[in-house]
Amino acid sequence: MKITKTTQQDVVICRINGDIDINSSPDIRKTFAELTASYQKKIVINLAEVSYIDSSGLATLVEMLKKIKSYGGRLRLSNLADKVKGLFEITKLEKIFEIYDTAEQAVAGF
Amino acid sequence: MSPVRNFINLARNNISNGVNRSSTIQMPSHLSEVNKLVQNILKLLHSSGINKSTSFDIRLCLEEALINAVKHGNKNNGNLLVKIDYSISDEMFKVSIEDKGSGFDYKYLPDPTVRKNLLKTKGRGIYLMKHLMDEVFFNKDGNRITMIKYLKEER
Repeated sequence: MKITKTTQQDVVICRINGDIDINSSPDIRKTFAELTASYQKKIVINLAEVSYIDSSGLATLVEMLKKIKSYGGRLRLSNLADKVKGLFEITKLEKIFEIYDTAEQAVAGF
Repeated sequence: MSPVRNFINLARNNISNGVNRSSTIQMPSHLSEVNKLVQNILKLLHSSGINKSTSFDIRLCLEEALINAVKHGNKNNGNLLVKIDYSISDEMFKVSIEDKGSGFDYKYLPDPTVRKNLLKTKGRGIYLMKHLMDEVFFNKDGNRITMIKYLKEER
């Protein structure tokens, strides 16, 4: 799993490449702890290169959402593969996450 | 012989007509064993022609159940084994996963999709298994889960 961070204006885009599961979640938490430590308010996670998420990975994303919301920030997700999107639908997490088809749309909407 | 190697040999010994495969394996309670075991079962399933969507579902459910057995059932005690019984046929994939723990009350599982639970960071694993597999049931004590995924309609 690899995370690439880029910035567009005041939005940080994190592109995750690889599985988000019990093995990679600690590294993802660490990367996002750096962003939340500096109270980054606008974050997009591009999941184009993520073909697998388990319940631990979903929990990691929920944890990040809670943290970012706690200081008035916003977290958006983009480019979900069909099966990954299906998990958000089954668990109803689509109700609490802002989900966009592309990172560009996610950034533009901020 | 490593548990995973043993697993592969057992699986090979149970091939019948190229498609029916079954095996029993005892896996040490280490999270590092989970991925290797799941990948080996998926290899057997792929050779039976399952599609990517079914492969995703089975991978997720197997990993969730095995992680639960290692973490919650056997409390990460590497001396305790997790028993996995599986069978693959043209019609279905069936797997039972049993740990040495005292089990849990599977009849009461909070619904992770109700609003008050949406922001919780636990409680989605079994819920996902019940949605992604065709049948999921537990033994009386709650330390063995059995899951079935029907394969026939996708060929």
